[in-house]
Amino acid sequence: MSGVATDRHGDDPISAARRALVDERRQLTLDELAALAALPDEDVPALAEAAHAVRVAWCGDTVEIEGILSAKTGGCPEDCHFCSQSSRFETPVKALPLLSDDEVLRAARETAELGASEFCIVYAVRGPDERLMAHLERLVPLVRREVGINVAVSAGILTEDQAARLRGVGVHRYNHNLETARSFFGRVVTTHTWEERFETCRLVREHGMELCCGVLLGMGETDEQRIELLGQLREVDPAEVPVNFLDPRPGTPLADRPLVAAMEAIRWIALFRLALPGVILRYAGGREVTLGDLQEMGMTAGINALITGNYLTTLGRSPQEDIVMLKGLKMPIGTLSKVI
Amino acid sequence: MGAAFCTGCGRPPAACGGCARPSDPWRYCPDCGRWLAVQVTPTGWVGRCRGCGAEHHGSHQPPAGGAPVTG
Repeated sequence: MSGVATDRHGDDPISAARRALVDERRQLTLDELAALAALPDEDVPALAEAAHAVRVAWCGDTVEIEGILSAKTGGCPEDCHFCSQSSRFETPVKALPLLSDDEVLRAARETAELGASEFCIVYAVRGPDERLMAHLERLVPLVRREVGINVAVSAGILTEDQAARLRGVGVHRYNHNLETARSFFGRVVTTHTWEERFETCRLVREHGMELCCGVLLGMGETDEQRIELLGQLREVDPAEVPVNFLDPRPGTPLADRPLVAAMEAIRWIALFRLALPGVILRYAGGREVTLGDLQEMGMTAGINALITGNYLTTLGRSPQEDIVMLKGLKMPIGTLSKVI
Repeated sequence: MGAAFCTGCGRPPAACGGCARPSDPWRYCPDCGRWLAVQVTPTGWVGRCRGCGAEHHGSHQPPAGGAPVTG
């Protein structure tokens, strides 16, 4: 631990954070989190160790596995600058038609065979139209009945009626990412607002679905904006937070951004756990290219869930590599819910 | 891999130094250089060529230092 100030107990900032969260079950303030974010790189291993202790104390050692499927790829009218599926950018990802029920069922079965308890069906749309709603109202009960796996959906901005209907057909979790801080959002998306995303997150919870609300780090946001985002995530109160790292996509406005450095990624995984001690904190896109051989370290820095196999348009590592990693860490695979 | 066209950009090897990434499925046909309609699933990917009709497939990122699993 570097030579930094101590608190009234004589603890350094990392020990103080650990005591607050593990012994006192007190949430850290955003100022406390900002102080941890400013620690030197040499303190990152200790920060990760504290985050792991918090994860085990709040959530146990179980890891939840999920598979995701793009059931409608490309052709999206929105301009999210990180996304290769936007029709506004010249990328190699072209629009494909909606997958058939059989194609989705096949992918769901394959996902279940990997040991996953959650299967998320994703659509590259601004929000569902009536045709997509009818598709979901047929498909979600079918997948649940035929495969026996929890079904999550990601289909963009919802109306109140749509949120109620999705809950009514058994959607377990709805994914809608804030992606980044409110103060930075307008730099990376101009076709809808951060507030629209926030409102959909609110509707998801109001109608009784679990909220999965992810982030994407490495788009050029500052550390202060990442702390701001942590405060905003607390406001939407998600059950799950997938942590994505930017994997710059050819043809998008963010194509030339550098990758997040591996130890910076570990630092922010730890900070997300310390800020959101009870959430399901999931490894998501970009972990392979960002962390490489440090993926195991992330599992002992606060992560307690992962997307296994491939992503929507890019490839992940083999699910067998994840299974070997979890066995080596002696972390059992199971289902999780948010700890209140 | 001896392909006639780069699977990352569809150009002949003489025009591309190799832009295909291990984290991406093939996006262009190695036989004719035309665009592939690619569907990625948790366990693999399949690409159908809009030009010659060939079908290509693969699974995941190769382990560090390993060869891509494609066909």
